[in-house]
Amino acid sequence: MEKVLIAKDLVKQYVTKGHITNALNGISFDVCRGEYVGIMGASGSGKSTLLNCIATIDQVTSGNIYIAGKDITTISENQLSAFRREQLGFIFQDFNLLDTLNCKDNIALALSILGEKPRLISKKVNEIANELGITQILKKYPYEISGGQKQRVACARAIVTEPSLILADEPTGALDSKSAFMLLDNLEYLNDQKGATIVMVTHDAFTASHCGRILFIQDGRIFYELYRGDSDRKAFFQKIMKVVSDMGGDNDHVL
Amino acid sequence: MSFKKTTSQDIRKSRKSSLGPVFFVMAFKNVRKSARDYLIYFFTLALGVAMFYAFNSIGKQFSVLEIADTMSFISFTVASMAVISVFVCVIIGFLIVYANRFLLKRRKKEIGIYMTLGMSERDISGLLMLETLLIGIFALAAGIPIGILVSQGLMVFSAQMLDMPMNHTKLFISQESIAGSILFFFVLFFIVHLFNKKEIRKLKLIELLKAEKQNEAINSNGIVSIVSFLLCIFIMVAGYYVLFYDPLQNMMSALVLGILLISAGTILFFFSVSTILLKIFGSIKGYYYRGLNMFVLRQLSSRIKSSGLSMAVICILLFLSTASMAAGPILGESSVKGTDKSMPYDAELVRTYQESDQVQGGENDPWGYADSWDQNDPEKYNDGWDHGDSWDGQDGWDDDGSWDGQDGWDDDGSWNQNGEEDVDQQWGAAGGGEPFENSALWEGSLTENLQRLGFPLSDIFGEYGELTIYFSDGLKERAFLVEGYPKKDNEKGFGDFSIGIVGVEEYNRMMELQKKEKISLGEDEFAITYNMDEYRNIYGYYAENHKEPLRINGYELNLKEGAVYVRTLGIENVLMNNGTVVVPQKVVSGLAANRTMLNGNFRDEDGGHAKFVEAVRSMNTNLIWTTRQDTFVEVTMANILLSYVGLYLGICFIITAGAVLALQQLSQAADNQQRFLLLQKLGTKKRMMLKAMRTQVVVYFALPFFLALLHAGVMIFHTMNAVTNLSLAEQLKYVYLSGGIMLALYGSYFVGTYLSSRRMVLEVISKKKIGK
Repeated sequence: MEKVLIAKDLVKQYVTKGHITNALNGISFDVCRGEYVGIMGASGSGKSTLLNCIATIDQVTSGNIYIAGKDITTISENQLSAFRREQLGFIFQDFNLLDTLNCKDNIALALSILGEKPRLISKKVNEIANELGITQILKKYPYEISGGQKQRVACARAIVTEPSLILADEPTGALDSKSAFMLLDNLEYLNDQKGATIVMVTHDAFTASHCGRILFIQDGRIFYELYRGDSDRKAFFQKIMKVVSDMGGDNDHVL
Repeated sequence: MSFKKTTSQDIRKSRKSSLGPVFFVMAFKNVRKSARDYLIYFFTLALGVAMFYAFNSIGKQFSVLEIADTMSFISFTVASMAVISVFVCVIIGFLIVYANRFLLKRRKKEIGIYMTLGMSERDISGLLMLETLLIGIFALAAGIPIGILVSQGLMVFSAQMLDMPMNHTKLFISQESIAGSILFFFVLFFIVHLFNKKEIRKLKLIELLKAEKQNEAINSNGIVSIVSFLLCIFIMVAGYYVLFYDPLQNMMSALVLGILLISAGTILFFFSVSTILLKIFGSIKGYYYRGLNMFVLRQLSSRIKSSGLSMAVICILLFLSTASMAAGPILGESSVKGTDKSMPYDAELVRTYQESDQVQGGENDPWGYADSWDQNDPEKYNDGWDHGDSWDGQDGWDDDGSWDGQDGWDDDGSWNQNGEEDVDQQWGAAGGGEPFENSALWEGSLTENLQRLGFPLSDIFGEYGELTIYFSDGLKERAFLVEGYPKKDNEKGFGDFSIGIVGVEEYNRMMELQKKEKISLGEDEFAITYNMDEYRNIYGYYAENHKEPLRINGYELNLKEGAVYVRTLGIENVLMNNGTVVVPQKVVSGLAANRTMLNGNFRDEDGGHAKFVEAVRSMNTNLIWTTRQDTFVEVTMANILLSYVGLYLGICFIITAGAVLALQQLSQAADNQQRFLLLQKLGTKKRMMLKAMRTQVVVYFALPFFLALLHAGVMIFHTMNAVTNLSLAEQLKYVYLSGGIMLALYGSYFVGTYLSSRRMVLEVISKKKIGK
């Protein structure tokens, strides 16, 4: 199975006045094509930092990250931006849609930047909107729609360029449960039917239970890994809850 | 749709962004959305263009007013404007870059999104460039019409100063200035573009998305601040002192030193005032703990501290601009004042007698008038210029009497020297074959010699007359300083200058030309004339209190009763008759003549001037000549130049100061949005928050304003003190003008900032995204 993401010995240090914090303390893991991986941990565990580094938003202090075979820690800024538009798709917690464009254009922008032929752009946008059920709001502006709708638009934008890897940072964090449902449905659809590789950071067990594999992070290290295997979602959820309660319980047992 | 692997082949292909039309749409929409943020930027750019256009169209303005530029004074003014324009360009350039950086900061998150979507740096800066270009074009479109209006105003202003009838003023548009303004704009635009690129390259994606707000660390060392504050007051007062009392006796250096001291004091002031304010107000518990005062005080103090240097610079700019907008015109007008009395004839030719009074050779005239005589050649008048000691076939006159093509007179009669043309005609005659004449050595009267040389006296002048001024070794100003006269400060230097002597007959002929009353003198009487106001008291006192008679050339003369007159005897560009006594004609015979003037009024009002100039230039002599018209233009241009420079610089400085202040304040208001949101969550009333914001904006603008007013006030007061020939009312009108312009411009920036800040506060606390 081809490895879409290989992370090797990632270390990230923050240096403030006389204080060194290790946000990432030596993390290594792989993600295969078509996987749906969740990264869980408490606040301050380093999971957002990890995602940011993989997403090329932030830089690791040491270590290597290979995405689609390319070591992104060594490439130039220009190559990075090419990389972002071709290989990556982002979904942020606060949506990050451009408020001067309507939803359709927000999604289309990703294709425009990619350099897609203009006549194909409209077609692709309509297609994905259809699949994610957001066709009615295509003409609206971000400030006119709800958080859940915004996130699904962001989802569409992330996917429409057919990236190797989709990265989601607490995508359900700002949503109510119903919207969260719909979003997670969408993501599952993308992973199941479209073969998208997704890495998602979350602190919410319910969200995480949709994944195929969970990495638990604490104090900058992976301390546990959980595979869904054949379990159904509810059972998986229970397993996750057990780990989480172990994590949050006795501090002595943590690394 | 399935997920394909993109090869590097595809990467290269996709570099060609089909962003084309999308770019434009995005740029346009962005500009529209941020229209309010861009307002300050737009306003400043438009004003910059307007000023640039207006002050550079001055040349065209004068040609519309149809003023002859005989002595190139107008060209000089135009050139000066151009030089200052370069300076202005640089200032406005910095300003625009600064404004741009502020706008970029406001859009960090947005730029972060572009980056995560994979837009390359080039595309992002391209997008920003497009937006800047759009705004710029609008600013250009607005600035030029404003500039045209301003230049019309300037033309009316100039017309008044030059005493031209108003029907000469008509609407004019200077195409060169428009072209210049567009060039100015593009240069600016290009510079901004470069800066943008640099800024974007510096931005790290993680910072953009998180958009961290930093709180500056305040180093509030109390003792240091108090000492600095006291020191700054001391330095500023020292500056005032230097300006006023001029301890170095050199006005220029007093000015520079004074300004430097005041500036240094101002800088210290802004660095220390915040801590002082904090300490003072912070300790008044009744004030500190009331409402949001704590918040406001800390905010202000932190803000002033961190932008201390720029606030000081703003204050200094305001000070210099207000002072120059008032002092410039005042000094200008003062230099012109009384010159209506200093040009009593249409034209004048002057013959000097002293070796030292003669025109020395310069670049165009290396042989020099004084060096024209061949030491070994007794036949002076017949040998023109001589390099060495004798005439030879190669230079000057040839043996056979004809001009040699290489030097001196040419066959075709034009002067040249080694092939150079005598452009300024100093060497003389277009008419070929005329030898140079040194008037100092003439025999006979000036009139006779002019007629001999063929100068068409009666053709040019309707009336004319000669006046010779003599000097006597013993007669100096001191003779009129009666013992016991209370000398004033500005009279300290008097005493050593010579007093001229003229004969009453010639004097009366001059009075005839000037249409003033003649005088009659008894055998032993004399009269005094002067036109410099500084001498009024001296001669007045002398008239009342002198005991001794005046001794001139062996005669003893007494001042005729009441015969002290304010008179100008020649054409002067500044009043310089420090005293000339009129004596019976016989007293002057035997005295050493200093100079002789031939003064006259043109026969022909319209063409007289041109005829005169042509006739003079066709003579080859060292006579000094001038006309009323040229002198008037020279004097007025000096005035205009001073006024315009004052205005141009003044306005540009205010624009700079206002814009920087506005941008800083807006940047802070944007940062404050989160803080106000927090305050709202703590339960603060909307009214309180608006008041807090208002206090911040007002103090931030008022502090440099009032300090600048104080400095400017001192400087203007000092200028008004030094200028003695204008009335208080006349000077005050320029002070009001300056104050008015300052208030209008600075006030606009203040109002704009206030409204924008208010909107930003309301935007976040009302949870209404306005226009988003």
